[in-house]
Amino acid sequence: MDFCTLSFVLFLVCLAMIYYIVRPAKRWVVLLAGSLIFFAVCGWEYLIYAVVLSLICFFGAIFLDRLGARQSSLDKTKDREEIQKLASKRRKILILTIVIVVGNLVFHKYWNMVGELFNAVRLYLGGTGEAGWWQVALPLGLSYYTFSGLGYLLDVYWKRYPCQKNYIRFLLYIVYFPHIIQGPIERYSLLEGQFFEEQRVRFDWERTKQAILLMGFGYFKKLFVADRIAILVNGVVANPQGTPASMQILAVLFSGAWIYADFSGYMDIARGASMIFGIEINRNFNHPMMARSVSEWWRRWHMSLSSWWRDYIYMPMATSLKFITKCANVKKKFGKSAGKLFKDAVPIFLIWITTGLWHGTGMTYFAWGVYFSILFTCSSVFSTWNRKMAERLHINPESKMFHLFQRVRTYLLFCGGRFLTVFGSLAGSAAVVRNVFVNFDAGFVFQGSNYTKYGTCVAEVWFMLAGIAVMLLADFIEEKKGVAICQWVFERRWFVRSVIYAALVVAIALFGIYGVDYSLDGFAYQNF
Amino acid sequence: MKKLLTGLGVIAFAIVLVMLAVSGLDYVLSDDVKAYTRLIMHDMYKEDKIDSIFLGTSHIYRGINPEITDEVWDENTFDVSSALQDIDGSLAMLKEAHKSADIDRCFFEISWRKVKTDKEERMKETTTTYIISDYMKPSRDKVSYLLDAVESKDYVNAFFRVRRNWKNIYSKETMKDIIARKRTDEYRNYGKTIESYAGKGFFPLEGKFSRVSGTGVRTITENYMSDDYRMYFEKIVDYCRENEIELICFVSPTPEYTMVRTKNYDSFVTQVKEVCDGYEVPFYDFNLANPSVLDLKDDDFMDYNHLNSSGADKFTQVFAEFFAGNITEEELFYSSYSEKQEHLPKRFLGLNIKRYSDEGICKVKAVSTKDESYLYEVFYQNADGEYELLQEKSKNREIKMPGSGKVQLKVVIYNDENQKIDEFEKKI
Repeated sequence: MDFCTLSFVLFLVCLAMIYYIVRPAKRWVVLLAGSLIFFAVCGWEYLIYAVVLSLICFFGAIFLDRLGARQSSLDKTKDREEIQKLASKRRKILILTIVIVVGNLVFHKYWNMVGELFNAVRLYLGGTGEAGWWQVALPLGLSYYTFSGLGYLLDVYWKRYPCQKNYIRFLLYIVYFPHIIQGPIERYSLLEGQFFEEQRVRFDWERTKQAILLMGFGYFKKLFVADRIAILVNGVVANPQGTPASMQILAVLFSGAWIYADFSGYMDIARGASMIFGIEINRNFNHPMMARSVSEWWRRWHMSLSSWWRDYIYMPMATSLKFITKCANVKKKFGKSAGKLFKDAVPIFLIWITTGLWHGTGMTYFAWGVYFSILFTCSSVFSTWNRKMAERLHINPESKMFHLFQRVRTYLLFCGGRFLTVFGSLAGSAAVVRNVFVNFDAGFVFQGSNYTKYGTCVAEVWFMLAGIAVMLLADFIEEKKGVAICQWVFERRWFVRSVIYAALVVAIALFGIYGVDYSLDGFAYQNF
Repeated sequence: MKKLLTGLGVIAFAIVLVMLAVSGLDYVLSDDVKAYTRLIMHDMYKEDKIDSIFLGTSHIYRGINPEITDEVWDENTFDVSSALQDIDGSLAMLKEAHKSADIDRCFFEISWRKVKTDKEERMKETTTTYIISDYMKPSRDKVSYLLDAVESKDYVNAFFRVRRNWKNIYSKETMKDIIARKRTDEYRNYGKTIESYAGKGFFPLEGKFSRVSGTGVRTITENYMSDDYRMYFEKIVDYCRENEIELICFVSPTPEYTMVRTKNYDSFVTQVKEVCDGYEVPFYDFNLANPSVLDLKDDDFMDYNHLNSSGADKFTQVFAEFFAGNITEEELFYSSYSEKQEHLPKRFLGLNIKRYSDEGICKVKAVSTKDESYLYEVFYQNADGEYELLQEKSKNREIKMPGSGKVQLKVVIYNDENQKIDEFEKKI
């Protein structure tokens, strides 16, 4: 069930009505039933996957919790051996569960790629025809609920909170419909209180109003901005023949705004839908377009994934005794700078390459990971040099113009990453680079008739730019005023509010990219 | 309380703004200057009392002249038909006509093309729905018609015409042109925006059937009437009974050319008659009409499907006289089409020509009342505009085409005795 369909809106309205009719203590059951129905409508087989994975995580956590409790009840001096035995047992259970859960994810994400490699090798060795290779489809939301489940397991292992003893309640955490398609990757501790706290789940008109407006903004970003840009970007990518580099670069620049509008639009819809039930989920984006450095960009972009990576991979690794010892050895052997570089670069490369591979298979996403690893390492290594350089050039780092420069630079660097992936292969990206020298043709993008080849037109480009401007304005208001855009709207005079509501409805309903004339596939991040 | 009232006020004002925006944009972006149904529906809503309506597809607004029926029956009659009108559209039109003009009698055209349309097909043909719904007055009937006539993905398009035309915003010239044409007195006063409009929903045309077409052979199968059609037919019957409207079903005449290219036509008549008999609704097929009473020549049709103005007048006169009781059923109708065919004289009717681009050929077939063999001599027009021989006189009907682009062909037809019968030119 796509968020951008009438059936989803009707589903949401019906579910909300039932939710608030049922007594507060049992409302979570309605949410669970609704989530299971949502999942089942998307495909029964997906639901089976989610249930099996949730069972593995649930029972894994139960064992970890029990062993942890036994461990804690023992005397640290007297039962040292027993404690060590239990710790080893816990570690083994954790590793086994992680292997199963991550293995399942890896299998679904990479099995088809292995098949392609196998076929390539077979053909290279003289084989003919198509090799029979069992193709697997990536179940809906697998990455997201796998990470949620893993986070929960690790938190229980680290005794951050006790495990959930009721499987049905735990299942709600895994299958909760607003975050199932493309996140955010929620922490169990954040949702548990909200799902089952009677006080929170009472109907609140102010909150509902805010939720509806937030969903409205989400639909605007998705249907007015993202899908409109997608036509141009997809058109340029699909027609490399005869397309000059200027147009390809324009498509890359637009693709950054596209992915932001698409993903953050989804998040607004998901957050709004969840807010209707009194449950707040992570915002996942904190105006990345306002970021002044790449590291800041990624602190503001897909925040639930970044923080998950930071808490469950980066921090455990960077603070592990083994790694600290290794860094000390490098420093001793090769000097202070090399030690710092090793300390900064190794976790960054590991994180970014795995993030790249999480996004997709093949060399494009590997290169994407390497690209951001290099950017991060450079910004860390050259931070002092950058500061000194600015001083020498008498640049005021706090001036508005410099901030604007930094923001544009950051966006361009982000688009550099998009450049590696948007053309589908490294060969495709390389062809664009070649094209820059062979056929740049800067005037091409200024000739309106050229856009028809890509399924769009100049008027549509103006629509795109207007949509991006509205998005940026909303981000700017939130950033500068420090209030959510919905709240800002509610504080306006009645006339202004009416105009904003009417403009949103007209923009989405009349000028949105949806319906019979378009065949765009869902949200970009649901494929991850 | 004040907060609630302000909130409601904000929403109400926003709704007003949306409505203003939708209306304004619709005026600028939606081009309906040449819309037939705009005129039909407007004129229909103007009438206080209509005695009889003619419901159906374009065969009706081209083929039944209400002026003649008015005169013969001394009634107020009206064509409330529309292009490719689906049966759910007919029901909607019937309801609208009855609500606004309290009708007494409904002549419902059973179209062979529409009878077999199933629900899926019907819902896909959105334009046929929109040309009706766009001009229906806002009502619960309109909402239920649209909800039932289109798929949920089309709802916004169905309820907001401007959504279907919003791409006109790309072109300033188009918008200017639309505004200019809408500002004319003809448009504003529902005047003659369409030249052929004769009033009362009737749009006669002067053209003549060229007797050459590319239509395939139509085959009537068993269970030709779809379940969806039958369900709506029952709804029409029920509505008429509830509102004491006399319902009469009929099939409007098509050229002999089309009839002889229909296999098993009698089965269609039998099947429809069975259904109508089941509901005790009279049914008459004017394709079974005796040429001695209804003498429609090839020149009375504008194409292989529709009557032209002279044909419409001829047909309407007989139609009116028959329902006035001046002509008996026995006088007018044969009992079946095969019986009629037996009485038809041997006559050459025209040519059927169809191109099969994939195979690089075109197939020709002489159409006649009796199955006979003919010889075909085929020429094509070269780049200099001169005809070159493509096939010498031969019985071969599969002609190899000289290229992949459109070609002007000339087909000369001879009978077995080598006498030239006719020749046709067509770009194919």
